[in-house]
Amino acid sequence: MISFSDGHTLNSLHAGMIARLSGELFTVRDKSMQRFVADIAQNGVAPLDLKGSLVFFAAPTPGFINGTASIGPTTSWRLGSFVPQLLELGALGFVGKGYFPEGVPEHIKRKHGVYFQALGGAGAYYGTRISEPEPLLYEELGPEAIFRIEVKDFPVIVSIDARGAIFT
Amino acid sequence: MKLIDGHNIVSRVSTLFKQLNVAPPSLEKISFIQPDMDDYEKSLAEVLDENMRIAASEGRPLCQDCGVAQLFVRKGRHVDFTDGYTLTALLEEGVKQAYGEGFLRKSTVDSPFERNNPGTNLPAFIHFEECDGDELTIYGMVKGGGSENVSALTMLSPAAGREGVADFIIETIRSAGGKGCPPYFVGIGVGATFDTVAIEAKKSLLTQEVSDDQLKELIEEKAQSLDFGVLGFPGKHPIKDIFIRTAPTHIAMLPVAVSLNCHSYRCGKIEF
Repeated sequence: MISFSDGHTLNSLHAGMIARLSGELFTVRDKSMQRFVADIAQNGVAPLDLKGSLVFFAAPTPGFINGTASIGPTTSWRLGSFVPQLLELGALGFVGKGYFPEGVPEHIKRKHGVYFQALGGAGAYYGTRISEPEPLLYEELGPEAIFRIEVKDFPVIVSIDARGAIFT
Repeated sequence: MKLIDGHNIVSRVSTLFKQLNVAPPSLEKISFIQPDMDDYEKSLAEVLDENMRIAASEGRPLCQDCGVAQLFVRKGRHVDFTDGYTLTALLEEGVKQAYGEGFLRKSTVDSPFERNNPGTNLPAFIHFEECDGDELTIYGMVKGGGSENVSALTMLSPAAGREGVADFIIETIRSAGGKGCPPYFVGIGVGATFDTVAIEAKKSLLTQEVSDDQLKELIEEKAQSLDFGVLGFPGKHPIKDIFIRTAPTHIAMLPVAVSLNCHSYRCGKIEF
C-alpha cells in the first residue's frame, strides 16, 4: 500500500509538488530489467506480480547487508524502454530521476500511471528511510537484484500525476 | 632519500577513500541552504544538508554512486617506497580495500563495450606530477557518472577570450540542467592542450583555487540567465561554487574544460 503525507492520496497529488511517500517499492535497474523481460519472453509469465505497485529505478549500496546502505534514484532515461511493458503488467508508476525518452510519458498518461522524481544523490538520507531490502529476484546480481523495500516519509517531486499533468 | 612504508600508503589511501564517501573535507563547511531561497528550493536544499549530516554520523555513503576513484599525486624526487611495489600498485591496493571494507558500490567496469565489473572499483585513474624535495601529496577524488557525463571540453579560438569561455561554461551548465545533480561545484581549466586542460579543470576542484577573478565574475553574471535551481527543479541556485585554473597554451589555441561536480563534492588529500 502506498500513502502520502498531509492527507494526500494518489489522485490529489498534482504535478510539480513535493510529496512524501510511504509504502512498498520494488527496486530495478538495467541488468535486472533485462533479466526480467527475458524471463517473460521465455516463460510467457512475469516472475513477479507488479499489479498496483511502484517501481523504483535504484539499487542500494552493498551496505544493505550491515545496515549502512545508501539508496537513491538512477536516471530514468535508461529504463524508459521497459516502461510500457511494466505498465502492461499493472505497475502503478515509477520513481526515478530526470526525464524519460520521448513517447514514454504518453504511455504513462494513457495508463493513468504516475511518475515521481526522487532527489538525485541523497543516498544517505533515503538510506535511513527504507526497511531492510528483501531480495525477491536475481539475488546473484548483488545490489542490482530486484528488492522489495518499505519506504517511509520519502520526499519525491510529482512529475506525472494521475490526471496526466506533466511537470518537467 | 625519504623512504615511506608501502603499508602506510595503502592504509592511508584506504582511509581517505572511505572518508571521501561519507564525510569529505571538501563538504565540511558546506550548507546548500541560501537566505534568498523560496520555500520550494529550500525544502530540497534541506534534504541535501540532512543527507550530509546522516552520511557523516552514520557512515553511510553520501551517494549510492560511490564513483570512480581518481588520484592526483605530487611526488618529490627524494621519495621512495619500501616493499618494492610501484606507487600505482600501492594506491590501487588502498582503493580496493576502501571499496571492499567500506561497503561502497564498485562502479568501474573493465571495458567500454564488454562492461564486466571486476568488483574492485579498479583501475583507479591516477595522474602523477614530479616535484623537487621529499614531498608526497596524494589528492583523492570520488566522482559519479551523473556529473561526469555532463562535463565538457572544447577548443575555442583565442579571439573568443573570457567572453567566449564564459559562454561555453554557461551553455554546458544549461544543457546539464538537473542531470548532473546540482548545485554544481564548477571546475574549470583554461589553456594547456586538449588532453591536459581536463586535468587542470579537475585539479581546480582539488585545490579550490581561482586563478582568474575576472572570468569568475563574468560566469557569475551570465549565470543569472540559468533557469533552474537545486537538483534542476525550479529555483535560483544551480551553482554552489566556481574554481578556475589557467595554464600556458599555444598561440593558436584556447582550450576550455569544465568538470561539473554534483552536490556530493568528494575531494581530499593526504600528505606524507
